[in-house]
Amino acid sequence: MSSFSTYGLYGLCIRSELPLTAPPAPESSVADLTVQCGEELSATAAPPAGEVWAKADFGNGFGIQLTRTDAGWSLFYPQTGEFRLSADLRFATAHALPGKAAVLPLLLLGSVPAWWLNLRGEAVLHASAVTLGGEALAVIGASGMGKSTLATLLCSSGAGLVSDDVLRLQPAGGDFLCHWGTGELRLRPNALSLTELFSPASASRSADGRTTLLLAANETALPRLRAILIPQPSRVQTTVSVERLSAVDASFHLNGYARVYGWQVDAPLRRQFELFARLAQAVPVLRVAVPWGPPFAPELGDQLLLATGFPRPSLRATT
Amino acid sequence: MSTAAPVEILDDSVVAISSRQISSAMGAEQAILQLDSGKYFGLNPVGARVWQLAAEPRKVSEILATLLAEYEVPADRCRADLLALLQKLQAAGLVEVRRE
Repeated sequence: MSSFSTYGLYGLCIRSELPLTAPPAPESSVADLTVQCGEELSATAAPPAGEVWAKADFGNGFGIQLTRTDAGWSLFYPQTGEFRLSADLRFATAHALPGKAAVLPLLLLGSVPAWWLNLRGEAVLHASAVTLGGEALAVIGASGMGKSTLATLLCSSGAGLVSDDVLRLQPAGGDFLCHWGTGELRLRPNALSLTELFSPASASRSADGRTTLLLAANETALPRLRAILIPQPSRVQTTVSVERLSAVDASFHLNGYARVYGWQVDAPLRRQFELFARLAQAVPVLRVAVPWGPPFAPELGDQLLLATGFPRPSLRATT
Repeated sequence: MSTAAPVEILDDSVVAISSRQISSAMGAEQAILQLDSGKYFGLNPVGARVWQLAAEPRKVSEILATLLAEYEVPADRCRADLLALLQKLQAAGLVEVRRE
């Protein structure tokens, strides 16, 4: 018998038969996307026929293909499975390759909503973000550049997690607001020592073998994006140093760190470029050299917050 | 991106920015994305002024005259720099060039 739960993720209400490690949606929410489990694919399954809208190769056989089909849309992951979406994007079925069913929820927590949002005309950053007092810091970068590690360090200094890996931004006047993600951070093996900074109850294991930390913020209003950091991990650097990029350079980096890429059609690329051009002019983008570990200095989170203009920890404690 | 061989750029060549790009002025600078290659380019203020002038098909000699009127720079150097920039933009698929 099927059983659906309703989750609130990136400002969306997702009703899913796949169990997700995501917060519940408010009770009155109407589902933006309903996801049902579909039949398993054969081991030799290939992307469906149709117009290829995007294609990206991540190496080692991993990748993604977005195809416009007669029935709607297909998001095909060659190592994992496929999500088939209706033309209006309101319904989807999830199909696993043999032995990969446990990984599908991870896709529904990150990649699938990111593509979904892009198809709805939004652009999404490949970023982790934290908030302190209603203002957010985003950390952008490719996989393995230190996004989750920096977000963990910032959380160890009192910040709350906004999102890990996927950051949906909402323009609001001249500002950008950040939507809440899963409340969990997924750590790489070289950052596992950071779990010691938090209660053991915060840590668990994800389906892909990563250690996760539950660090959801105690805020509800969407935080305003104060700055975007591009980490430059350094084994030589002994202190945090910050360099603000020009708007053109910032725009270049933002476009390079979109959460989804490989577009074969113009419209999404144009939208993304325009949004990131506005973002680059509205929000400081900072290249941050960070003394890298392990071991990580315990005061690194405070140094990062100070270097990006947040109050000293002693002042934060009294406000 | 167009696979046509680069056209030699002379004073009487007409240049115009390609339709296969999207650009945004950022202060005095210009950010550009070439849609076919997916490559991103930035132009400094003088390059951005050339980009602005090439928004409509225009002779190289007209662009050069405008730059010489707006910037204090020797004519020979300005012409050499302008032709070099236009050649780079053409090679990147960002401007189209034709002879009158």
